Amino acid sequence: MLKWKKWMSLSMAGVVAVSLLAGCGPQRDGGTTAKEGGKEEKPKQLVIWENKDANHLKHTRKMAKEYEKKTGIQVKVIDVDILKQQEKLTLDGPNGKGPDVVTWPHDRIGEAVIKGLIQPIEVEEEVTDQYNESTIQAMQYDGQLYGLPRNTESIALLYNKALMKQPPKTFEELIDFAKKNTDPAKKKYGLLFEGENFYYDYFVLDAFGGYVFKELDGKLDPADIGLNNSGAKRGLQMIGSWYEDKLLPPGLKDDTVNGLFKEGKVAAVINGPWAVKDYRDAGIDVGVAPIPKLNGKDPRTFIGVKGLYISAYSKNKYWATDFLQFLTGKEALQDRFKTTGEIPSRKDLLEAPIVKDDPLVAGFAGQAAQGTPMPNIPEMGQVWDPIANAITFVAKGKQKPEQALDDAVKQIEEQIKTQKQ
Amino acid sequence: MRTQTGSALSVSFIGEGGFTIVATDAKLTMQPERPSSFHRRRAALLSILVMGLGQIYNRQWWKGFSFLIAEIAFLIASFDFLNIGLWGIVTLGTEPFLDHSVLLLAQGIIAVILIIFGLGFYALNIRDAYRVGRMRDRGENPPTLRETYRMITDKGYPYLLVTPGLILLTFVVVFPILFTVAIAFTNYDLYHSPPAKLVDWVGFSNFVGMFQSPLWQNSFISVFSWTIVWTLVATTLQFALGLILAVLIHQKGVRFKKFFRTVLILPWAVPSFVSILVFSGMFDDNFGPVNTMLQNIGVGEIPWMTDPMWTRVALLLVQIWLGFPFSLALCAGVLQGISSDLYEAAEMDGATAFQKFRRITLPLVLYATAPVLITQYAFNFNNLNVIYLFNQGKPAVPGQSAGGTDILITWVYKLTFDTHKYNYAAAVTLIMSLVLMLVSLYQFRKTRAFQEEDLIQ
Repeated sequence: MLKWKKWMSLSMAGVVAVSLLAGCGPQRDGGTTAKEGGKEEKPKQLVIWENKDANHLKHTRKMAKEYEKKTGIQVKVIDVDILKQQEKLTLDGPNGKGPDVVTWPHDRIGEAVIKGLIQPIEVEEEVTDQYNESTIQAMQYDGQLYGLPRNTESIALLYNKALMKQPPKTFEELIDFAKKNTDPAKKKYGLLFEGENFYYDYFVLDAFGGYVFKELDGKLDPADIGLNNSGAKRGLQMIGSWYEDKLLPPGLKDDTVNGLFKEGKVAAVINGPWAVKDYRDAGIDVGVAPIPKLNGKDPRTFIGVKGLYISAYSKNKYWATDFLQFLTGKEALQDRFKTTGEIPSRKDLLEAPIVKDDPLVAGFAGQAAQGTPMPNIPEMGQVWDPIANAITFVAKGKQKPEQALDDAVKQIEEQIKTQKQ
Repeated sequence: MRTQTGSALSVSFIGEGGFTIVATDAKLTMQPERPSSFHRRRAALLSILVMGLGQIYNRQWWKGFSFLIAEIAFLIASFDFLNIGLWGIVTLGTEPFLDHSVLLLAQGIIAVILIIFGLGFYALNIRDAYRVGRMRDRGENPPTLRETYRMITDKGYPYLLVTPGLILLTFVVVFPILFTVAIAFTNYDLYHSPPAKLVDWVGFSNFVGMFQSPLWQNSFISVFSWTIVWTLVATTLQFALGLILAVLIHQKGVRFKKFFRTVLILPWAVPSFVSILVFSGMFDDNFGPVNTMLQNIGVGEIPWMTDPMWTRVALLLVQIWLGFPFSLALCAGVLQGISSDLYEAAEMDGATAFQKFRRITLPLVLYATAPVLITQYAFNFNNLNVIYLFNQGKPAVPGQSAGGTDILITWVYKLTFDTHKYNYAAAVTLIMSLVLMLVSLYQFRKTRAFQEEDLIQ
């Protein structure tokens, strides 16, 4: 018995040793494969991943055909969910199955750059000048341009025309209106929005001088957080006063806001373009306007920008950049607006009658044009919850705005530290 | 040396029954001057050298050559895979963009599993050579091909059937577990993500780091303690309610038993995620029907969603509602099986209703349901659905990164998807599994001890 075991272990050890000796890794040729400079050859085909949405695909397929007519390069459009493209690219890219062009919301650019999924692009300044400034800012990370903006999205003031004839000129007037038209006992409200979600509140903090991360030359500094400066505190004080005056009930959720608005019990809400169809289906005569001036300034809401980027694995950088410009050109974005209803990022289209004269779109477009992009560095992921919690504590009267924001920023800093540990 | 012949290698493909006649014949031709362990040692040694060689030496040509071919085929077919895999699991890649650390790690784990399988087969081969050699030493003839075949289909048949399932199990169950364990010892997070960056082995530093950061320290302790409370209270109450209702329905005087049983099983019939979302709306602080009702009867509004204590109460209520039908069905089944003799005898002795419950019903039900009850505890320990769908682990609590009702599993979920700390998430998962395994093991052992008391004949 003993001997048997000894034999076995000896032989096992032998086999393991042999296999370990064999395991000396892949054979690699020593020389680095440095690419030669110069203009690359015209590829036969470009591959683009477009969001899995019938309208998005319809537009992009049409554009692909036109691009082929123009340049002779065949474009293959593959449908991949916009939020799954990064994950898929991390697997497909190294295997050489990846696309040349990808798309996702701009706030995921930082993550993609850190993972090495996309590469910076080089275009002339006259090209970038065609787009709304804030959308180009959204496409920058660490001072470099990583893509071209296609569409932009912002919240705005949505009002029930039966309960509010004209949107007020200033936010102060809007609050006065809300005070007169709110009666919580009857579930009647003048103004409702998801106040404990930082996304909807940012413009108030911003109006008094608060900011998330300090921006310098297209770089965001995660070490400089402006969410507990005096401006941000004044902003949160103001938000807190709305809860104190019972204009907004604490613990308010998106669903509740929508439900009450559809029942015709709310005069105005702050919400995004995604809500409009639902409201109109419920038979509400909806008007859309930019959010009225707060503290004498046009409120700068958070905007989301959907951009097009070039995969780090693409070998056709020059032509992919050309294709990017084609897809974000005037004709292409006009077609996209007609097909999908998304607000274009180009200045010339924002001024065009097709956008300006559509009452529902003009409000969102106007607000988007004056908005500020959500920070696209991954540290932003650590900001949402603590700040939302701070607002909740203030809304419930558990903490003063000063204390709440100081605590939140401390927590954000600690979480960023842990995230980078 | 002689002691070896009595070695206790009892499980084997090579049976010994049915060969006695052959053996007695062969003994006559045996050469007496050879040492008795000659063939078995030589055969085993040859098998160690190259798979199948010992069998060939034993003149089992078919078996020997097929083993030999199997080994060569295995080495040729998987050499590259194993080579890269082993290199990958040790280094996790050396060049960013070229090496994808996470894929290499996965390949490495598969390679290790394959090697273990291979070694296992190799060991069987050595043992087989040894045993057949021993038969020859005893002067028996080695089994022929036909006999071997019969042996495999006869005695080894269960193993033959189980093998595909076992292999599948290894890749579906064991592989992900090994992968998680491995990730817990790496620095895999957003800033060490392939393809731009390589992942490295970091030993225990995730566990150390997690307990050193004050924010995480606070979070972990409060999350862990609430997880324990949640598991114990929710499971115990849902079982108790199920048991009580089952006993009540089981009473002799009760009419419409089927109706009650059906109605009480209904919560189980609705998909739980639907009920949870509905409950989440019902408990809404301002607009939920629960608070409206409470206000109408003069109790006043209760901050179900915004106060950690009340959210916990609401969660417990929801889980009890979701969980009791299962216990009810289980207990009702067990109650049907308890012999009425026991109760009659107790009544003769003048036992009260409570005594009958305490001394007869409860022990018998617990005895029968204990294993299921343990799995229920484990289930609630990892009950992501209720916590996450009801209120996403909220409300927030100042000074910690987890919400007031986050249990470990929802916290891990947030760690993975919100902060991309895959390594920390894996480390917490490991701690979680360890706790669960120890508790389950302890409880199952206790259940077995219970069994030995011989409560039921």
